[in-house]
Amino acid sequence: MPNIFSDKSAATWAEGKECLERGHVNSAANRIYYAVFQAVKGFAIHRGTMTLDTSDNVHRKALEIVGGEGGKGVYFRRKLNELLSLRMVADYKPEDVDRKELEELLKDADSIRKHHIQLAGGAKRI
Amino acid sequence: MTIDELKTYVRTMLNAAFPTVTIQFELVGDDPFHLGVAVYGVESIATKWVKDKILDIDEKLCANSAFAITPLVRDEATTEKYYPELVAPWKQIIAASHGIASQVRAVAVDNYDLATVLQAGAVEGEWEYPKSVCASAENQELALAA
Repeated sequence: MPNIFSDKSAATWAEGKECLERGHVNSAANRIYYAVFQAVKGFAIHRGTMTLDTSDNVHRKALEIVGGEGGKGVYFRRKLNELLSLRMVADYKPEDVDRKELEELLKDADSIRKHHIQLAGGAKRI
Repeated sequence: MTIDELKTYVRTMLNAAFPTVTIQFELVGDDPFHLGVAVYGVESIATKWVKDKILDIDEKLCANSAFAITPLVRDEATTEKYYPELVAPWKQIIAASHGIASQVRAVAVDNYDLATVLQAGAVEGEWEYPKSVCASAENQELALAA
């Protein structure tokens, strides 16, 4: 079974990029983080370490999964953590996300996303 | 390691470099093992350094444990605009002398029972903030004191 969230992750990623192009930087941070998160969750479901219903402590689990992949895992955990930080600011804090910080994370965020879709067996659309 | 020990470690490390910033902890998504480390009133030029140090702790201390920490670092302008209640304490401390700042650090240490961390003796050396920025901070401190 391929990554069950691959299509959704791709769509969420596209939403994030569109939000960023339109200057909606908080919405962009939210969508871009969740695009990556969905890819990681799909990978975890594929590996049997999460289920569709898993909702407790999921962001820590996502960091753990990304960081536990060896090789680039340590770096990926760090970058996903930075992205999570921006998403928390976007969703829960009064200040706005720093556009430059978000833009600097885009390349790594997309790498993490695509990596976890491909690890789970590829997809039509990533 | 317990969650309180993790908080103590983070607070000690950050205070070693910045004795006067305000540090608070919050739960990420109601997860008792995932802390948001909120640091307020950081000099703008130092925000990336502080964020990187928190990410370093997550990488070195949390990655192989059940814990995670996520940085939430605010510069002075953001703190003043959105978190004014957190401005006063650190500005008052910055305006005070080095002696008072040292006392504040000692109090924080006592409050968190950091004997183990401090006995390791690594805090000051590992967490010394780059000298160029320290000099800038000292200059600002002198100006404020004047």
